[in-house]
Amino acid sequence: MSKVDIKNITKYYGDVLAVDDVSIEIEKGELIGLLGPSGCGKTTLLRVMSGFLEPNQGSIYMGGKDVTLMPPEKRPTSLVFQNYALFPHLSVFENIAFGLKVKKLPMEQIRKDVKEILEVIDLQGIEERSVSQLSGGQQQRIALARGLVMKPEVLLLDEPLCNLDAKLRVETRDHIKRIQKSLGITSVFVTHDQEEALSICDRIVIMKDGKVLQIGTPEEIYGQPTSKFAADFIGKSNLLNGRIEKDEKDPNVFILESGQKVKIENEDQYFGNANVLIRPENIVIADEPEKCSEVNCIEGEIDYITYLGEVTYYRVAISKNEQILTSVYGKSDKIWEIGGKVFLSWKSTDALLIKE
Amino acid sequence: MLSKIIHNKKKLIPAFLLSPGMIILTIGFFIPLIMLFVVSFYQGVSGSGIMVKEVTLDNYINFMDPYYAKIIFRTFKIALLTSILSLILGYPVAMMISKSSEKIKTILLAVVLTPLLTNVVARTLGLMIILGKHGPINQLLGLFNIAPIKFIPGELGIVVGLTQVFMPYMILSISGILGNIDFSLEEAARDLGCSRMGAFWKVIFPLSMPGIVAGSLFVFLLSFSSFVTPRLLGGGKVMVITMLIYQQAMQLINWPFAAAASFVLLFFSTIMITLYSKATMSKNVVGITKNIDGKSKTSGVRLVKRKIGDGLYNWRASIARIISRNARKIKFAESFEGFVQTIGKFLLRSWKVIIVLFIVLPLPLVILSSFSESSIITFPPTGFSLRWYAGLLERTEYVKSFFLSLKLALISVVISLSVGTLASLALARYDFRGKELMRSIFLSPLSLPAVIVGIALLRFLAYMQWVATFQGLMVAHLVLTTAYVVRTVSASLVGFDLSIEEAARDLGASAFYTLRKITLPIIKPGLIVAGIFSFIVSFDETTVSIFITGGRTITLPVRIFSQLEYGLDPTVTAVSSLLILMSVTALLLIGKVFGLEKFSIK
Ligand SMILES: Nc1ncnc2c1ncn2[C@@H]1O[C@H](COP(=O)(O)OP(=O)(O)OP(=O)(O)O)[C@@H](O)[C@H]1O
Ligand SMILES: [Mg+2]
Repeated sequence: MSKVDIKNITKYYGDVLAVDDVSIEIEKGELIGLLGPSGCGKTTLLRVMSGFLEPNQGSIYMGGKDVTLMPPEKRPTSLVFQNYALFPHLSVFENIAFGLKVKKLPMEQIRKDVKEILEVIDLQGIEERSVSQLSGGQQQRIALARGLVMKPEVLLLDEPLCNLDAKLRVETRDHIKRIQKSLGITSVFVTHDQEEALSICDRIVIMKDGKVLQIGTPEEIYGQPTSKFAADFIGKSNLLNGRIEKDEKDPNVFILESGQKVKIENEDQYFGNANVLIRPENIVIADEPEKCSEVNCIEGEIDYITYLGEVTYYRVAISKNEQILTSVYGKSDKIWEIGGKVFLSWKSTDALLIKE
Repeated sequence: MLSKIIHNKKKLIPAFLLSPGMIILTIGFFIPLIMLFVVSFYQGVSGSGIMVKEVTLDNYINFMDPYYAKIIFRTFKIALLTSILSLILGYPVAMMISKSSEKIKTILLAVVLTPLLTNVVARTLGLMIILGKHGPINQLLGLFNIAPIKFIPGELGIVVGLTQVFMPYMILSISGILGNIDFSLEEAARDLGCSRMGAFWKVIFPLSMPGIVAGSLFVFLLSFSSFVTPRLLGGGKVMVITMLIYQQAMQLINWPFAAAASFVLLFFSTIMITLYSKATMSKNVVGITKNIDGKSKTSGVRLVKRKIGDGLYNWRASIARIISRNARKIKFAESFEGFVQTIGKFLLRSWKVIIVLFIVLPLPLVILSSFSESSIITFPPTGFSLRWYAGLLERTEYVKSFFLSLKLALISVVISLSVGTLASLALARYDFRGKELMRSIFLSPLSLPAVIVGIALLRFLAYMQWVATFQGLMVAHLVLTTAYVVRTVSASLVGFDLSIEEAARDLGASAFYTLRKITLPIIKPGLIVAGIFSFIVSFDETTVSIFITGGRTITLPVRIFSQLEYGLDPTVTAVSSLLILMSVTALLLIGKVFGLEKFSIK
């Protein structure tokens, strides 16, 4: 259970820059999520950490030791592969025992360790089965067990849930989280599913084009994205284009493209073009301006409705080119229809200024 | 009533389509085989050609004699050593192939396959040069002060030579299996603490077992029943079972014993295949899966079944099938350009290259030697001259043989292409009882060792008094080329979308019109490959022809073979070079045709 220090890692494949000067400090026992769109370099970074790739620049420290040039078999890491990479010619027991046998542990010890880890992952009595006789979820857990049984200091998981169906994903991710916390293993969890990252990670690293855009707790990443990309990538969002003008007396007034003015919090008195992020759940929808609860009150017309059961999304056109998405949870007392005239309002503290 | 008539008529169509091929097969293959079987129970008198037509088991019992038991044992030993050597040399190459990029993979495969497509005598000539007392290998050893090794004539030379000839089979089998192994398994093993070598031995090697076992079986069976290579590299002194058959049939004219020996050969081959099937039933070699969910299973058993069905003893058949199946994808002309460049790059790379070179080198060596000035074949060749080519024209026997082979090949192409295509259409288009049996019947001439086909034909043609006649050779060649055509054209009909034909019929085209305007044009690439292959198969045919030529009707490869039986002669290098060039040209031609095909089909 050691601290991991990723320092200025850069990795090229030929001319392709896959990881660009990435630095991350991972605390002991922390579960950190690498989140980003396909091709942003998540796998590459993970493979640099596990030792399968040598970085062009930078170094990796684990528990204070420089492991940058250490071969994978010597590192205190265990990698859980995206496709599990279970050995098809070996049984479940032999798969899990593989690394222990390489270590030349005595057979009794191996049996005991395998038994214990099977308890941890909650899969007993299938030791003698061939891995091809397991369901996808079971294979996933065996792959996890095979890594965990080595008592790694760092656990690396590359999209471990991507081959599972939606329901199993939720179960398994909570399971992983529980195991990770109870064993206290420093872990890196690669995913491109934001919900997965938000739900189980202690901190999230947002990556794009090989670079780190933001590191923070799920609350920080969702509540205070520092870039348009992060705001857009995580959760549903309204990103409104506009500007803050210097000659406006109040720096907290944001002028939309359509010319309408909305109130925001602009503490450091920024001027110029910018974006405003408002999450749909922070917007209140009403059919009369009097019902607007907050300072901002904008008129618009509903042009699209998405009904999802527990939540209904209304898209409201506030000008020719601007729409705002708002959500209503549960059963609302009023049913709106497409074409209906509505008024939207939100707290100025919920309107986040994103300067770019 | 009406529907019944139509139904009956429909039933007759496949029979009609299959019958020309069946006639050829019956005359040229089944009757001879049955006659051979019967003869094996007669009594022969060595040296006289007399057969006593009394049924006896003596010929078979004779094999208990230590002398013959020794021959079988020697043949086993040579085949086994060849398999082992092929495995040791072939595995790294297979590994290299399965790990390279698509482009390099195609090129490497082309390199590995080229020797298989050239004439066996020409290739063996190359081996005789390489393995010679003063050949390149011994010169190389000399550089390290190692005394020259006497490869030929002898068993060592045969093993090395057979390895060169059959290693591609090992490489293809193993790389086929390796290609299905998920290499992240190797990484998983390393992540769990294995060294690079450890990961290989613990994970990759066991997973590639089906390929190893299948490849070894192919190499074993092929070596066990090969004739030309052991005859030439053994200098006629190393008695293997095929040599025994040849000697008994051709020199001692004891056909009953030769016939029995053929069936003994067949018997041992069958035992090997059975043992293999048994072995693969046991847990460890059963098969491997690419994804653990069992999606793409490749088992060694299937591999072997397919290979044997493909005509194991006629390697060109499987290649022809692969090419015609991927006809639209393969760009041979391109691969050959890339081939030259890549070889250059690889030269600097590693010792695996040396193995690859060992596979191809005999061919360029033959060509190089043909331009030598000296009348002794030396390495490197001395001087430069065209005298051997010029000399060829004066050797009328070569010229005659050339025209004989050409005539045979051209007629074979025309007949077998029509007959074989009809049969393929019947097999692909119609459902009738015994269809699978029919398919194997048509391919069966390729699934028997050529020596056996040869001696069976010899017996039959002698009965018909057709030995050493043009029509005799014609029958033999047609049997083989028709099987090739069926193999190749069937393969190109496999991916054929039947609804296209139905659409044509729906638009009012007659069955014949549809065949002419829709079906044939679409399978044209397959037909062209089939035609080119039939030509080469016929022109290059050696082993079967050895048994049935003579006097004034001697085909070109047999002429070279007989010459080589007496020793190296530079004229032979010139003829062989021409044969090699012909094969390469044929390959390039295929590439060209498909280049054009690309534009017309899209
Ligand atoms: N072996 C390779 N050779 C060349 N380029 C590569 C190689 N592997 C990855 N790349 C490139 O490097 C970049 C980063 O790839 P990487 O696999 O790290 O992305 P990722 O974030 O894991 O994507 P995904 O979510 O799709 O798994 C991509 O542009 C990819 O095309
Ligand atoms: Mg990835």
